[in-house]
Amino acid sequence: MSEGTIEDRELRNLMVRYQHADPAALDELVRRISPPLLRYLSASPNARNEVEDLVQDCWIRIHRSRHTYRSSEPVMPWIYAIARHTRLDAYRKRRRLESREVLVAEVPDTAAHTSPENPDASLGALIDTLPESQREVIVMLKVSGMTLEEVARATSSTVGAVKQKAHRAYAALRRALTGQHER
Amino acid sequence: MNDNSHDGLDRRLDAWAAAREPAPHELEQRIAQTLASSLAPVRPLASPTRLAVVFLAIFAVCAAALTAAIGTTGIRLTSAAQLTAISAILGIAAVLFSLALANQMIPASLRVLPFSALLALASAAVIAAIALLFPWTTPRLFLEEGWPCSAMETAIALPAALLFFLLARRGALFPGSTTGATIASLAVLLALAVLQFQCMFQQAPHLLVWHLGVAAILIAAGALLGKWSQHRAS
Repeated sequence: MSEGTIEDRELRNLMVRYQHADPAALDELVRRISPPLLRYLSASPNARNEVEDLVQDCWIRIHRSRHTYRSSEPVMPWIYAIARHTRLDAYRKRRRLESREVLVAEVPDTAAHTSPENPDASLGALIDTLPESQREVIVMLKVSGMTLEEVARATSSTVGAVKQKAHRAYAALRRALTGQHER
Repeated sequence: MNDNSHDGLDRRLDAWAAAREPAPHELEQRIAQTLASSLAPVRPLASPTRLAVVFLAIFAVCAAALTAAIGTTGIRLTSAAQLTAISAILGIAAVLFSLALANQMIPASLRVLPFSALLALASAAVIAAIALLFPWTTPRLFLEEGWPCSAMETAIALPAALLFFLLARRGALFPGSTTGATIASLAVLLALAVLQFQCMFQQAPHLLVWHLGVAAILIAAGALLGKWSQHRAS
């Protein structure tokens, strides 16, 4: 069991209070966890239009599964493991619906990520081009500051596999950035 | 990520990650209100190790009770080496599959081995033990003597799978082929153990086709059922 950061210890404490039905702990958890959840769930370009619904759906799943959280474990991998299944289920549902629809036009959804006011927005657009499995590893490592082991737990994977995905994502981003500069 | 921190990419990724937008206040309020309406104290689930011990205890009790009820002809017909090897492999596999199922009940549990690797290892061990330790003689009535074994294996495995599923449902099981295959594997192991102690045809072809062949079909059926339930859930 790792002691974790101050923030992690606070989250663990909030989760235990949430399990004891403390409404203040619930409010505080929703306030603290929703922004990284929103970021994670919107990391998939196709999911941006429905991201608020996804966050709500994810919280309902967290609520139903709250008895499976153990206070000896870090909170964020547990949250992300549930968020990941929420996102995968939504993806499957979307795919099923799309397969039944006739696609009229592909609407570009990257305007917000290529804003000239934000120099790192173009990086966001490049991250969008990464495969889903690499993108989620980058988001977990960078947005939530999780360790490789925590990401492995959240993605039902091994530390070696996570390292490999992160390495490939970095290599792809570096290649893309070099290509941008050359142009 | 040490090899990546020497260039500007890490810094740019940090800046990108730091530029997070807050969740809309009304969204947070809506979520908190929805959840508060059903907020009640919950008892945390036991650790994966304790859950695995529970699965293992059920496995052992069911195996002992069914063996006592159905018979022990197989034990009398096998040598000490055969019995020790096959019991050890089935026992170790039961421990590992119990742990795998317990881990699946708790989101973000640490996986030491992917389930597919665990299944491949267990299958290889059982096949190797049967192929090397049991005689390669084919009984005259291969078909007639075989189907009752597969029928019994199925009759044991199906209720066992239902029992393990009902127990595992206490956790946060995510439907999918891995969950279905894990539950089926544990149930099939129980059926294989009982059958091994009871069966009077202790020859490699019979064991491989009528015991393990049916086991493979049942595990595949479990995986398909898991996939189907995932499809229904999403």
